[in-house]
Amino acid sequence: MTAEQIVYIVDDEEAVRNALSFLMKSDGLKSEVFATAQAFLDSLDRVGHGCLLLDVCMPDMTGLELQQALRERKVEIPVIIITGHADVATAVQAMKGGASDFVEKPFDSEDLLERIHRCLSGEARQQEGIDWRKQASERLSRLTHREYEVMEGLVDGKRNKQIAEELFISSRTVELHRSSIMEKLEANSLSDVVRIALLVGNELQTNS
Amino acid sequence: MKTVQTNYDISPVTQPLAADAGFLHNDIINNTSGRALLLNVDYEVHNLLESKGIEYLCFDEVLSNQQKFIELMQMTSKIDVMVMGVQLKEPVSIAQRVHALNKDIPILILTEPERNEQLKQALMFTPFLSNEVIPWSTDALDKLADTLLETIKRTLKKRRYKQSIAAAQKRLGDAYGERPQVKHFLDRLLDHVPIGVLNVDILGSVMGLNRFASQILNSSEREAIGSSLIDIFPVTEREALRDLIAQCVAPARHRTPVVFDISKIAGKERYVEVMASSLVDRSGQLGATVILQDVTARILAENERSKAEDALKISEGLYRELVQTMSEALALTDENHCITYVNDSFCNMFGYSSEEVLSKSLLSFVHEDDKAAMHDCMVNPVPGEGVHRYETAWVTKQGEKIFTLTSPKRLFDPEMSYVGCLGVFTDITERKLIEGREKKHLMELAHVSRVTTLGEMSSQIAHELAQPLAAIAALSTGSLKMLKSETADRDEIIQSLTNISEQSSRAREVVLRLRNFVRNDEIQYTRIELDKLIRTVVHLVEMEARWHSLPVQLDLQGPLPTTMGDRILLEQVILNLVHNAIEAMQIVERHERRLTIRTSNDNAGFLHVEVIDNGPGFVEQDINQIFQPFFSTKSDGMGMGLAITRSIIKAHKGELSASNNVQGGATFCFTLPVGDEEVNSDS
Repeated sequence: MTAEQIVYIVDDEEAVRNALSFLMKSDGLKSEVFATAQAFLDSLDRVGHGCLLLDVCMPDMTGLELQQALRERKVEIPVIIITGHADVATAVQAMKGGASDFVEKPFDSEDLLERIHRCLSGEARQQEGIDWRKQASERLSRLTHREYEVMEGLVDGKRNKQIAEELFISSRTVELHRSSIMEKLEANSLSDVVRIALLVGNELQTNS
Repeated sequence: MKTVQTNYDISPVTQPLAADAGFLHNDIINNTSGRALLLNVDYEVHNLLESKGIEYLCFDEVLSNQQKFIELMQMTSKIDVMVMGVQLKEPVSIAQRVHALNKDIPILILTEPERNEQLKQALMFTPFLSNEVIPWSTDALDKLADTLLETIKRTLKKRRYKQSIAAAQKRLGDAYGERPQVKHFLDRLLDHVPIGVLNVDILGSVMGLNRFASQILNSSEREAIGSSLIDIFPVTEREALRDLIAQCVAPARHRTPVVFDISKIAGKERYVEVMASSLVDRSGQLGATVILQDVTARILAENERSKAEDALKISEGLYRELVQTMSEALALTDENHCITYVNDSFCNMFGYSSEEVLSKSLLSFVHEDDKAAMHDCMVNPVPGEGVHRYETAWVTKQGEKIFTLTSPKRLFDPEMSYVGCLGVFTDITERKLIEGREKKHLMELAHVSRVTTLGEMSSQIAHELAQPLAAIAALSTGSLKMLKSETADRDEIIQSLTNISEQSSRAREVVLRLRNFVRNDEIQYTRIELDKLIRTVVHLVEMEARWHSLPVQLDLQGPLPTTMGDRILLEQVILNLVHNAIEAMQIVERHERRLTIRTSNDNAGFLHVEVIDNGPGFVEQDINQIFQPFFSTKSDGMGMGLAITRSIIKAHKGELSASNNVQGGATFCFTLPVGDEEVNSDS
């Protein structure tokens, strides 16, 4: 760790912003807060090492839009996306946009800190990532072909009804497959499913 | 032989008449041989008479002179026989004229032998002649004198007899004073009085009748006299008339006049009142005097009246029947609201017998809540015209609450002072029950719709709760870490605990708001401040709006009058409209989305709320359908939202409409009546 690392927090809601800042401080991390995506962009000059804790749901410019803007400006800073709800499409988009990680509100504070630390130490991140991928592909292999199809639909952000129509099965069956997928992937939420699917998917894409 | 005079000259008054003018004044009694009047008789006959000592008068051709003839006839009482000569023209007609005046004069008509038989025949068929007119052939002149003597003798005898009868009658008349004269006057009187009087004998035969009686019975005097009165009356009336006459003949009893219908004999509608009294003279019962009075006018008037009375009775009966059998309950009260009359339906409706309710106050049956209103509508004049109807709650004998539509009619006497009220009551209990069920149904539907809406908003709601929870999580973990380490800063920890407390209240509010919104309550009308209610809903929808980067602009028109309504339902209306608007604007560029809620007061009793978006608006043909149940333009919509929204507004006596904005987007507008009293949602 050569330079001091700073956690940049972008969240439109003051209470959350301040709470996160307080949490960083309690863990010995330095943080800077921004009320809008634009404010962060405006301060890019003085942004140094660290990571970006980015809330997706913001007026004017969303987290995803900021992510896009950063990519365009070749600003390489690890991004942890925080979403307010289990919007699968957003999660998929964020991961595809190169986010290192994403967490859902309300988050587990210790888990969040752990992810932030992991993110800050790039090497560790790589190592962890590989372990994660192994674990993920092992879990994915448990799925049946039909379950895999259903999962793909879910990751694409499709609704149960839509998946059912495309696969010519009933919504009820989709629901059954869905809970079976959650169980086999040891996922607690749909975001976990997406994370696992995308980790493996990226690897597959990289391999091919 | 005297020449026959053919002219009408009356100058030759014959010698014998002038000469014998004196004898006319002699006493008839002393004259034994008698007097003859000769008309155009030959002198040879004169001689014959003279030879027998018969006095005679001669007239020639005078009979055609009216004046002379009358003079002549004035003498007839002193003439014993009349002889007409062969030369006399139309002897028969002259005989008729003579006999018309005095039937007692025998007449001999001299005739040529060959015509004797013919004359005899003619006389036989000539009316108004007595058998004292005899034709006498000239070839029997020798016997003429003797015959004349015989005839004269007979005439005198007859005259003497008549004179003695007259004398006897005169004596009788003297005995009774002026009786004959009085009787004459009475007869005249009876002929002119407008009542019919007739006498009948014991057998019922008419002995005499006055002019009016004859007129009433439509029967001339000649026809009537001698015939039975009973037979003159129509068959149907005879029995009663016989009884009436029998009654009067019987010893004195109270006699009442009886009315008879004689239309049949009168040829038109005619009624007579008949009264009979016995007719008695010294010789005993003679018969009865019957008095007929024409009472046609009276009877017709009576018939008319009784017809009118019958009609009135029928019509009164009809009304009574109508009132009794009508399905509406009816009650009549006096000025103290005490019941004076109720119909059957009233008794059935309220479970009381009419005896139980009579003279009790009508208000005592009214439900406690409506007593004051009922009293008002029974007594106080109502503005405007026409029938005013009120809904009234009642309590029946069985203790059940029933509802009626009440039409009161206040009653006044001619001095315009209040005398009571007529009330008609239609049972609408069933309708009220159905309405209650419908209301409940609407509430249930609205609830389902609310839950559905919230379901659709679930991710936004989750987000709304996630924010404070995330803050709490971070703050509490941070505080713990600080306390565990040596870096603890007391003030900082106090600050974060304060923040935790704030954030948990915020989460609590969200939860409470949601719970209130989803609660399935009875409909509760309360006074609503619309602006305040809109602000509350905006808190709820802002979660969603913020999610869609959509600021809700409020254009609230300062202090508005209140309206009455169910808070949750009205919140739902606004939520639904805003929710729809937000969904509609999904396809609009984020920065261009505009949602405005505007309130206004039209100062005509209604508050207006507009929800204006700048989404795509409606397809023109959909505008008419959007309020229909199960109509949706959304792929996953139930199509119930707007239908329920409109039902809610209607239940609040308002209107919900939709239109496209000129500058794009759509506007939903609903109205609510201004009011701060219980809305009568049933009238």
